[in-house]
Parts: sequence; structure tokens; C-alpha cells
Amino acid sequence: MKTVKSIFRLKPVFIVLSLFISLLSSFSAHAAVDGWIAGNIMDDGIFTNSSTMTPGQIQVFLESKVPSCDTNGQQLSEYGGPDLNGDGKVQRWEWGKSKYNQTTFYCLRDAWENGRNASRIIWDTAQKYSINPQVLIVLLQKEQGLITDTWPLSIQYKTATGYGCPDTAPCDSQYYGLTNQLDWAAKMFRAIMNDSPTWYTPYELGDNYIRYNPDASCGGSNVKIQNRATQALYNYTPYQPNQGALNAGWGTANCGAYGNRNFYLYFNNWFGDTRIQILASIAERYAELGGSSGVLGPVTMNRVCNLRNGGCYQGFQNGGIYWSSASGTFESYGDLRQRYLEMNTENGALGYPTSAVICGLKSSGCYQSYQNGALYYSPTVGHAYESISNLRDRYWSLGSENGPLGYPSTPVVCGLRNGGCYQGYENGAIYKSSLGTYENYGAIRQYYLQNGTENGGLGYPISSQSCNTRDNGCYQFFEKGSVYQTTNTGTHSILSGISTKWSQFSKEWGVLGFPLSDETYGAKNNSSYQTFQGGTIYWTSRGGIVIFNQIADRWRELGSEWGMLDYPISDTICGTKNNGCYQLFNNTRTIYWSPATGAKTVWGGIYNAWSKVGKEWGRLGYPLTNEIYVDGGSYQDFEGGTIHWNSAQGTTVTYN
Amino acid sequence: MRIEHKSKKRWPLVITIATIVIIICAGIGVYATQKFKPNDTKENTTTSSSTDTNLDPPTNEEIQTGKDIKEQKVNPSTPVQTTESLNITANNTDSNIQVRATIASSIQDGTCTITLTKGSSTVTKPSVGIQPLSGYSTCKGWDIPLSELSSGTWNIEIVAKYQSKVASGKTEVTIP
Repeated sequence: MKTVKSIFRLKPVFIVLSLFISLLSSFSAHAAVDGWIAGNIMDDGIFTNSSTMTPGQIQVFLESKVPSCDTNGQQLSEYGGPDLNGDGKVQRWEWGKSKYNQTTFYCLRDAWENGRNASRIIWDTAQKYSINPQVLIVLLQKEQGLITDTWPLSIQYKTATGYGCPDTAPCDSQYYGLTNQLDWAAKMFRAIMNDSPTWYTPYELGDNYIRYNPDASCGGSNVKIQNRATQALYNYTPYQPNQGALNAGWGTANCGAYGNRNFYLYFNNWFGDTRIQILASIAERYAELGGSSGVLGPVTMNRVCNLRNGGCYQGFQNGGIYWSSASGTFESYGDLRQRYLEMNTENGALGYPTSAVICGLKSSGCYQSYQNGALYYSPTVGHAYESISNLRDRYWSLGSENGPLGYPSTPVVCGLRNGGCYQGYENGAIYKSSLGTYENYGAIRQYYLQNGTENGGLGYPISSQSCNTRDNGCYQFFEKGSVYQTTNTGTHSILSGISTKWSQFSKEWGVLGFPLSDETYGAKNNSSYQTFQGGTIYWTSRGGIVIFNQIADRWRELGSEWGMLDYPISDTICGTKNNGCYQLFNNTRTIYWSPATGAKTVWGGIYNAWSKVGKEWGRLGYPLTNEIYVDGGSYQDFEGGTIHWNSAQGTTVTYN
Repeated sequence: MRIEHKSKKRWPLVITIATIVIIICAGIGVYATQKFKPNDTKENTTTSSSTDTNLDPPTNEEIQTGKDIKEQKVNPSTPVQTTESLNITANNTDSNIQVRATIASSIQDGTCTITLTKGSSTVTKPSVGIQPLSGYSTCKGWDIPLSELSSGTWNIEIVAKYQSKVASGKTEVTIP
């Protein structure tokens, strides 16, 4: 009695427990199907979007749904069967062996047919008929459970999409095979999407009576089919779920038919909404662009949110619209979109678009700005390319497409020497290195290309190109030298030591002027030289030596460095009497030049005698001739007299 | 002594209340987990260049439904029939009576004929072909103008002939 009382006293506990168990059981039961619209199972845009997945993405998806495949049928059989090997347990292979003579079970993720794996077959079929591969994937599941099956039977592959396989009649063998099944299913879908007159369709757009079950006594209802995709699904599976089937969620109900319901549930679970949801701000922008008849065309996929930095995206037939709080709402389409896709869209170097697509630029080009750069397209280039980071800043400062470079004509290419980057343009290039980011175009660009660009003798550019020097010349500095260009002198580089020497003579503004050649190697004693408008610079073991043209002409008459004068031991020295110049060579040999007398050699005893009387500043003045040899001696005429020399008397100065 | 006696009698009550509190807390926890779980955790890996694909392992419901589908194939609850039935639908649109007929069989070639009768009135239409679809075959169908049918209830009979077989079905439609 006491026990009974205690139990009675605990009644509230049982009530609470009962309520709790009831609460838990409500969670474990199937949730009713949410959002089912009998007349619009799926939007056309989603049904026909064949670019939702790549073959690789399909493969990853298939593997995710069968993490472990029981290929050899080692698990216990769900269907009973003989214990063929007498080990006391009935495994799947034993059941398969006895019923279908099959002991190996390839999951869809591992299945191949005629040299293609299942993911490739699905993708190829989707492309062939412009049907969403996700639709085909769900079809394989709802007809044969092939996506989640860890030990599928051959018969399931034979009738993979249930095509030619009535519920209450034998299957038609002419449709057997995974490829064949997918092809026929997609072909039928496409025919209905195209409203093909050669395909009979018992269900049409508009009002249709659709049954709940193959058993007519289960009844049905009128359904107003709103689009072709829904029409195709009903023509494929000609039943709709009754309210009991909808209330049962994944479960069953009296008189229920589950094909279209399961299609809807699987698609929602695996790929998202079957009907397109458009974000308000994206819808607004879409309307501004003309809606479905505008540049973007009809909607083809649901909005996708939670992108980088919380952004959203909506796909359309001809492009997409992106939204993020930082960048606003802007479209992406056409040639610019192609490049944006190649650059991994919002996750790539460009980030989100920050402007509309702007066309009507030079040469009918188009442009769009992004968070981290811009994309340019021109019909003359034929492809869109980016402009980003420091390269973008430089391009912008040069006037972008209206500047000397024109439109970008290559992607940004990095990994050059010392980690440099490069981008080609219609008329040149921009290089980025640790030394800065600079352009390269025109004649100097051609020269740079012919000489190995950054890997050649010049290295990376370290300045922009300048054209503010004399004779309309242009120049640009590089890591290891500079390049100068004029119409009259051509384009030539000036490197290292010669460059230093040239600078000492005021570069192009000095007597030497612009270079007429590149540095030439092979002079005497492994030296080199470079000719300029006003002279030549030699680079020898003694450093740089300048020889003005006035002196050089006479020097060359005597064989230049290979002749008796050898190399000069000084630069040409000007500013002497009457604007004359002279140059010293080895062994008291000289060349003197004045505008009135020209260049003449003075050397040996005559030079010593001339020196004693004050050289050009003395009464003799400049030499009028070179030394002239006669029998027994020589002489040389000067402006104010003559110096004779013979071995017996030495030198004698005679004034006029 | 009385005080001790009272104290002993209250222990079950305290335990009971504590148990109730724990159960309620657990229940609220379970509810909150179910109610407020993210709709779609897969969105964490979303990019605009790939759609919103769920790469989680399949749920028990997805697996079980797949197994049910397979079992229906292996051990069909609806026995495969050797004779096919013909299913007719007749829809009254604004301007036509839309008559369709399907046959639960894969039929490559055949013809369907339709006869509509109301009392002594009979309307016939040219026979049409049969085409196999996914899990059944269909007669091409007929769109009969309302102007050809007087008000009242019409009996519709369709006969399909194919592969030396005959299937037929009847229904009726009321013209207002």
C-alpha cells in the first residue's frame, strides 16, 4: 500500500516524462515537405543550367555520398539469402551470387562505362542536352538510389534513370545501360523544354489532372503546370504526392507516390532551392539591366550567399550579379565575365565588381572596375584582361587604354627573374620588380625585346620612358644601363662604364650627343667602344676614353688602336687656342685639331721642338700638315713656320 | 525524532524535482539544437563559381529512402503485370477538351483511336500514334474543340493497338 502511494505521489513525474518523450519523438519523425508547389516543382532556369558542376565537382559529390563502398559485398545481406560458404553469416555477395550471379558491386563513384566514369557521363549528357547535371544526379537517386547505394546491382545501372521501365510492366532492354539511360532521360527533358512537336506529352502547360498513384482509385487533382521543367518532370513521373505523402516528409502514406516528392527533397537537400530566389538588391539591378530580356537573360540559378566577406551572387543565362556590403551590386557578363571566371571571380585577385560594365571606350572597348583592379576588353585584342596592383597604378597614370600602351593583351605573368611580374599591352608592356613598376613601349620596347628583356643585358626598367630631351629623342633607364632613341640616330643602349663616361660629357646634351651604335666588343686588348654623334668612347683596361670625331678621323687614318698611335692616354681636350682640340697618345704622340687647320699628328722630335716654342700658343700656331718625310729627314708645316728634322742636326724651327 | 522522520520523507521529493529540472533542461537543449541549427552549414564553403552543393555524407533519411527505392526494384511490392491497363485523362480547357491516354508499358509502335458518345451522338477522331516515354507510353492525344461537343456528359473510350495487343479504357467528361 505504501508502494502504491509512493507511485501515486510520483504521478507528476510521469506526466512530465511523457511530455518529454512526446517532444523528442516529434523531432525524430519525418518533417513534412516544406515549400512543395505542385505546379512548379522546379524553375526552368535551374532545370536547364548545365554549368552548375564540372566533372570534377560531380566526382567529389558522388564520393561524398558514398564515403565507403562495399564493393565486394562483405556486409550482411539486407535481403537474406543462402550462406554459400557456410561461415554462419549471410553476406551481400552471397545474396547477389544466388539472385543475380553478381559478387562485385561498383558504387556510382567508381563506375565506368565505355571508357568514361559516371561523373563524366553525367556531365557530358548534361552538356549535350543543356540540362542541369544536378537534375540528372537526383534522377539517378530517385529512380534507383544509385547516389547513396554502397553496393549497387548491375540491374540498377541497366535501368539507372528508370527510362523504359514501367512500374507495373517489364523494362525495355533497348534502353539499358547507364549512358543510354541518362541520354534518353535528358533527351526527353530537352524535347519537352523545346516544346518539340515530335514528342507526345500527356501533361501540358496549364491545367492537368494528375493522379496520386498508379492506382486510379487513389484519385488525383487538377494541377496548373507553370513551366516546362515541371511539365518535363510530370511527363517523366506522372504522379504527384498526395497530402499524406507530403505530410510524411521522407516517409510513406496511403495511396502515396513519391517520385516527384523525392526528387524535390533530394534536390533541396543536396543542391538548394528548386525555385530561384533573388536577393532584393540583385533584383533591383537586374531590373535596371532589362530583366530577362536584357543583357543577362533569364535567371538560371538561385542566389548563393555567404561568399567571401558575406557577399551574394545570382547566376543568369549570360552572366551574374554580385553583391557585397563593401562593393555594392554590380553585374558581370560578356567577354569581361569570361576573364573574371578565369581569375576565380570574387575569390581571385580582382575581388568583387565595383562598377557597371562600361563600353564605348577607344576602339569599341569595354571596361569594369573591381575592388582590386579592373578588366579591359577590346575587339582588337579579342580577349579581356585584368589590370591589377602596381601594374594597375602605372597603367592608370599613363592614361589606361588612351595612353601609349593601349589595351592589355596578356594576363599578368609573375615568376620572372628575381620575382618580377609582367603584363603585355597592345603597344608595349609594364614590368614590376623590386626596383619599381615601369612601362616599356614604342621603339625602346622593340629594342628591349630584341635584347632579351629583363633577362638580357639591360635588366628591369627602373624609370618610366621620357621624351623630353633634345631632337625629340626618348630614353629610359634600366637596371644595367639606359636606352636612347631618336629618329636620326636609331635606338641604342649605353651600358656601365661607357655610360659613366658619357655622363661626364653631359650625355646627349654634350659634344658626344646620342649614340649611333650599341657598345661593340672586339677592340684591341679585349676592349670595347661605342660611337656617338660627336665621337667615340673606348672602354679599355685604363677606363673610359673619349675621342671626338675631329681627332678620331686622323686617328683612324693611322689604324686607330691597332696602328702606331695605339690607344689615347687622355680624352680629347678642347678649349685651347681658336677653339682647337688635341689628344695625347703614347710616346709623345699627339693629334691637334683646330677649325682652320684640321686634325694633324705631331710627334717625336718635331713635337718636342714645337713644345719648346709654345705649341699652338706660340708663333708657330697649329700644324698645317702631318710630318712629311723626305730624303734624310722630315718636316712639318705650321701656321707660322716649319719645323725640319734630320738625324744629323735634329730639329730646326723656321718662321714665315 | 519527528523532525528526522519528516526529513527522510522529503528526500524522494527533492530527487524527483531535480530529475524533472534536468529532464526539462535536456529537452530545451535538444529543442534549441533542432530549432536553431543553421539551415545549411554547407554555405560555409560556397563560392559563386560553384553552386551551393552539399558535400556532407548522406543523412539517414536520404540513405533509407534510397534503400527503399532499391528494395522496390529487388522485391517489387507491385507485381509486374503481363497485361497493360490504359489510363485516360480528359481536361476541359477554355476552348478544348484535352484527352490524353497513357499505357504502363514501353511501346515502340502502335495506334490509338478515340470515340466520344452521348446518347445517340458519336464523335470520332483520326487515330494517332503511340510513343514510349520514361516509365510508360502515351498516345499522342487529342485536343477536341468544345464547339464539336454539345452540353452534357460524354463517354470517352480509347483503344490502343500495339504488338498484337489491345488495351482500352473509358472515362467521361461533362461539357457545361
